[in-house]
Amino acid sequence: MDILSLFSILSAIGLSGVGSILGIAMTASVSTRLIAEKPERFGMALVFTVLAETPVIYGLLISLFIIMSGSSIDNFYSSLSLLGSGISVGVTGLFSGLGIGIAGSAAIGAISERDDLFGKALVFAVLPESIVIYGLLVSIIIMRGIGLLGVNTLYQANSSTAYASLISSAVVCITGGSGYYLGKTGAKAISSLLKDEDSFGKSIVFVVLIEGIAIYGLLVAILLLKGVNML
Amino acid sequence: MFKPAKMKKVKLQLPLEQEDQFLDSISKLGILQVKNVEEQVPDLSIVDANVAEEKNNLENLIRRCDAILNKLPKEGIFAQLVRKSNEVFTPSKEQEYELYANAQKILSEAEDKLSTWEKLKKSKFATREQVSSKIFSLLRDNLIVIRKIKETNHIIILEGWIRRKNIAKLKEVVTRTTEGKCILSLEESKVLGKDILRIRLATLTSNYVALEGALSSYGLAKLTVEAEEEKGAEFESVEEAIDISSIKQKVSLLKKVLLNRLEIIKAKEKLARSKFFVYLEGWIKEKDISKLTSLLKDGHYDYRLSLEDPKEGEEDRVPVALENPPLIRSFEVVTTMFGYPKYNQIDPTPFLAITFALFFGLMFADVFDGLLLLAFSLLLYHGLGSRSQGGRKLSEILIAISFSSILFGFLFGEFMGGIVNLPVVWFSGFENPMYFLEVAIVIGITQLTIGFIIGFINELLRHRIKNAIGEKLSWLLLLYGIIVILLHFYYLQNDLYLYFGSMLTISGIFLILITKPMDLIEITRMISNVVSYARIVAINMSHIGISRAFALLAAPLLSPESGIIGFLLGGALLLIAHVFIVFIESFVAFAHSLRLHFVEFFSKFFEPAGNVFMPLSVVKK
Repeated sequence: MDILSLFSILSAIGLSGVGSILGIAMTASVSTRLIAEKPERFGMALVFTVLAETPVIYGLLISLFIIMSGSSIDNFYSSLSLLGSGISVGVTGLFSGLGIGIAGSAAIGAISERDDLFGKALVFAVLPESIVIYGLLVSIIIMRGIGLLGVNTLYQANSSTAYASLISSAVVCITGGSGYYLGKTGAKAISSLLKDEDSFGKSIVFVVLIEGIAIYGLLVAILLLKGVNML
Repeated sequence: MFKPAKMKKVKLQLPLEQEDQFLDSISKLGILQVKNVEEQVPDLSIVDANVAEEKNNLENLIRRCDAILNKLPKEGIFAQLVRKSNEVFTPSKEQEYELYANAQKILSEAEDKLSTWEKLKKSKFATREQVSSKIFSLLRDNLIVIRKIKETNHIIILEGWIRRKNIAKLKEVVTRTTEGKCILSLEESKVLGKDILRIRLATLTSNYVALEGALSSYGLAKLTVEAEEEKGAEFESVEEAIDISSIKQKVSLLKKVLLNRLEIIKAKEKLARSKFFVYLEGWIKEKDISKLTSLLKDGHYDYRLSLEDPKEGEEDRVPVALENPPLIRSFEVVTTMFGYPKYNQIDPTPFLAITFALFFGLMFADVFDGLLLLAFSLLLYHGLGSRSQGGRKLSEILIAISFSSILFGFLFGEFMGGIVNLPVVWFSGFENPMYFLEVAIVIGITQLTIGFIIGFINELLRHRIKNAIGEKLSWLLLLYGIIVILLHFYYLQNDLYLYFGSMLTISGIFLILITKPMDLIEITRMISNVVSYARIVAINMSHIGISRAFALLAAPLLSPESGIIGFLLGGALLLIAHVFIVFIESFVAFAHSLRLHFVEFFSKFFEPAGNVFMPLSVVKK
């Protein structure tokens, strides 16, 4: 396994891990305060805390894929593409973990006052996770494209495919910054549920406007990869 | 279906003495929403001062009930979801009256018990288990554990615990130190087991210091909890000692009675009265009119009733009750999360029921995961679903979407990430993501089209022709114009399509410019709406990717070389992994299906400004 594959693993698990650490730290600290006063809310608080763990699980998934199959990559350009795969899930995992942590903390705060808001608060807490899903998707497409998850007869290991992989990964990562702001606006939306529960549907509309940016990034990434026969 | 239930306005006159009886009976049927009297009826007044005072009193009592119930321990989240309903006790009229009359007394007793419970909980040794384990640990290093029960100037009484094997030693030390001036009684401890004996020792106060010194040399520990604080030690737990469950039962029942009474009081506030008659206005579903007339006839009311259709221009104030067949009814929960449609608008629930299940199935396509989700849904149906209407509807939705997951799992040939190779009936989303993307976009455009058509019809129903053309038809033309032009460049390569597409596009833009020109900047939002359906592919691929990763990890364990232990380990790993996947990924798929409907679909036609139909009814559970 070459240095680029190793850096890919580092990005995938390291950056998504940092995102999850920050997310879990935020939700866990609020949870411990909540269950000291209301121990019966333990289960609900645990759900929001566990949500923040999903980015690192996706990072772990990609890392395991690379460890198990990365030794079959013996080409510099394929390794460079693989680096893009790791960065894609790592950076989006970082933003996603932060966003889930912020929204999750607000959700735990909301259920401390009204446990019937659990379902609606959960919807807002889950939305930042879509960012790491987009990153994971690009990672999987790249890995599939270079032949790690199936056979791709159209693939050619050259600078175009490598740069396309890196740029598509960068696009998804940069637009993935919306994950953090999804969390922030989601937190505000959860707070507004306490004042007016009926604002739920309309609040979602505002929150997901931010996600539209990440969707554009995903679309461009997919089209780039399609253009170099990685898809 | 497709439209809310037809409503009729009710105008009813009754003798004053029949008011309470009527309100009580109609609340049991739950078919009539009472509203403020609008019609100008001579000699009628609206406000009844006595009602206001009773209302305040009821609200205070209900607040006290809530304060008590909020302090009581609640079940854990899993128990709340799967516990079956207990039998619902419905009090008779006399029992209700008695509960209401004794409300203050019941609440005061409950509050006293609650404060005792809270004091015991705070005490370090409030439960039998905590006391017992403390005594056990102290007896490891000590001969005896004691505490003072009573001390006067002359006599001191101690209570203690000692291991059976050390009794002889204790007797010897106590007799020697007190010179025989003591009374010692022993009994087996019911709580701590046969090896430990409970002792009571009474001796002169003057002997205590010497006794304490003598016992210390063999090991003496003092229990610092006061006897009163250990009240709960006789019981399994503090909750049993204070009988928390009966408090919960009594106060919950009282709250139900108070809420029912408050509903009737609120309805009374809206009625108009003269010296002999009471006058009521309200709304009723057309299909329930026969129930109302039967009630009035069978109850021998001396009534005058008139039923009217909503007037022109009154549609915004008519309450809305969604009316759908049983299979679709559960999805009303999803629609109403966003809001209620207005009375004369189309109810989107039938469309949502199909597309919600479709989107979820596409994102969560796996036979095994669908089966796991179905199992959980059935558990929920029998648990929470038996106790609340909302729980029932949620579990029915989950059952529907799990069937959809199973169906698409078969169509895509997905079972536990490829552990079992199923034939691909339609296509594999993971192997053909570009084709899947095309399918998702087509489904999305179909949904957007339905949204625009519903919006168009809604505007026509409200006689807003300009909005129908400028906000709905124009955008539909623009959308299909762009689609046809793109089809020309990427697939069809026929100039006819280019001309046709251009015509549609120009017509759409022209209609927008002449009706609402500023709306043209929303073209980017429309592109975003279409592209948004790509998330179906993203979530499906991540779901399948994770399943395949776990399948790859478990594959070596499941191979014949690993033997039976390896097989069992591999199976356990896969089961745990898929429980995790169902737990996390189903939330994600649910939230994103919800989001696609609320943002992309509903924004095309849904104005959630309808008033909910809230009939006067008794609290059932």
